[in-house]
Amino acid sequence: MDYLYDNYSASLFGIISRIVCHREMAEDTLVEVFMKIWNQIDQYDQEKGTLFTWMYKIARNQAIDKIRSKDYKTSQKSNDIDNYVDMFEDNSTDKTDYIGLTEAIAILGEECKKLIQLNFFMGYSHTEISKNEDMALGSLKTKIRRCLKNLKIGLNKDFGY
Amino acid sequence: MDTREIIEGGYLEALLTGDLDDSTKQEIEERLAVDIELRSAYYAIEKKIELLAFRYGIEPNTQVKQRLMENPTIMNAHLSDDNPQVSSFSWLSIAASIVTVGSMILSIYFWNQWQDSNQEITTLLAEKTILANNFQQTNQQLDDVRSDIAVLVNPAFSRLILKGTDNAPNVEAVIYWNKNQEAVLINSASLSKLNENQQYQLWALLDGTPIDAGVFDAQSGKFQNMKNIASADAFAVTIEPIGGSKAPTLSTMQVYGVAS
Repeated sequence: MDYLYDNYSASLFGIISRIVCHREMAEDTLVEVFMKIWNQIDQYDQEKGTLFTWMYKIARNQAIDKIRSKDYKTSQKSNDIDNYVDMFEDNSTDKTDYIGLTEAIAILGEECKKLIQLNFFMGYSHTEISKNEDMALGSLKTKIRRCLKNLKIGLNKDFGY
Repeated sequence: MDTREIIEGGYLEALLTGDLDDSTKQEIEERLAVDIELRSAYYAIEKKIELLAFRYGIEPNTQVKQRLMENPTIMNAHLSDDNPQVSSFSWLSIAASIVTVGSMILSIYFWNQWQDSNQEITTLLAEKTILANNFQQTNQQLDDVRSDIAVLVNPAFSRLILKGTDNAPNVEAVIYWNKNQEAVLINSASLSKLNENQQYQLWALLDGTPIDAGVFDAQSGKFQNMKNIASADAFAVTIEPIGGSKAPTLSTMQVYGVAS
C-alpha cells in the first residue's frame, strides 16, 4: 500500500482535484480511491490495460460520483465547465519534465489542450463537452483522438512505440 | 468495426475515459484482447495519459496518507499482511532450527558412525594381524612339516630309535642321521619335560669316546637340528645343566641306541 500510495497518489490526486474542485472532498475521494484500489487490486486485469489506467478509471469514476453526490452539490457553488483553467500552464517544474513533454504540449494548440484536459483530467464526458463546446459527438471523438495523436511525446523512446 | 475504424474513430480514447456505452465497450475490449495492433495503439494512449497525469500531478496533503493508513481496513490488512511476514519469518527460523538440529543429529550420528567405523577398522586390523601371524605360523609349520617329510622320505637319512635306559624305561627318542651331510636331527618323542635349569644333551659315541652333539628341549613330534656328526657307534641322551656339559653325566642317561 505504501508503494502504491507513494507512487500514484500525486498523479491520481491531480485528476481527482481537477474533477472535485474542493480540497477536502478531493482528499476524501483520494482516500476512497485507494481503499477501492486496495480492496479490488485482485480484480486488476493486466490484459485490459496498464495498472495506471485501471487506477485512473477508479479515481475518475469515484471523483465523478463525488461531484454528483448531495454533499458536494450543497457545498459547492458551481462546477461549471467554464471554470476551466489551463492546467498545462502549471509549469512548476519541481517534477521531472519528461523528454519533450512541455514542448509537445506547447505546440498542441489551445483547443486540443482544452479537450484533453476536459476529457481526461476533469472528468467531462463526450456528451458534456460536445454540448458545451457546441460540437458534434462524432467529430469530438475523432478530434480528441487527433489531439492525443498529435501529442508526440517521446513515447518511441520511452515506451517502445 | 475493423481495427482502423476503432483507432480512427477515437474509440480507444473513449474506452479510457468511459465514454462508451456498455455494448460498444464490451466489443472494443474483446477486440483489444485479440488484436495486437489495437493493443499497442491503446497502450500508447494509456502511456500518454499516464505521463500527463504524472507530470501534472498534485501532491496531496501528508495527512491524507496517514488517514488512509489508519483506516481500519488498511490497518488490518497491513497487520494481517505483517503477520504472515512475521510468521513466515518464524517459519523460516523454525525451518532453520529444524535444519540446524537435524544437521546436529546427523553430525552426532555420523560421528558415532565414524567412531564405530574406526573401532571396526582397529578390530579388523587386529584380526588381520592375528590372521597374518596365524598364517605365518601355519606356513612355518608347513615348512617344518615339509622339511620333516623331506627328512623322512630322504633315503640318505637313516632312522635310529634310542631306547629308554633304566633311568627311564618306557621312553624313546628318534635320531635321523645323514652320514653324507653329517646332519643329525632328533625327535624328542616321549622324553619328558625338564626343569627350567636343565636340558637334554645328545652324545655321539665313537670308539668309547662321547662327542657333544648339542642340547635340546623336549619337543615331541618335532625334528631338532643337532650338531654335525660324521661318524658314531652309538647315540645317547643325558640330562645336563642348561647349556650342556663338556662330559656326559652318565648317571642321568635317558635313552641309548646303537648306530647300525
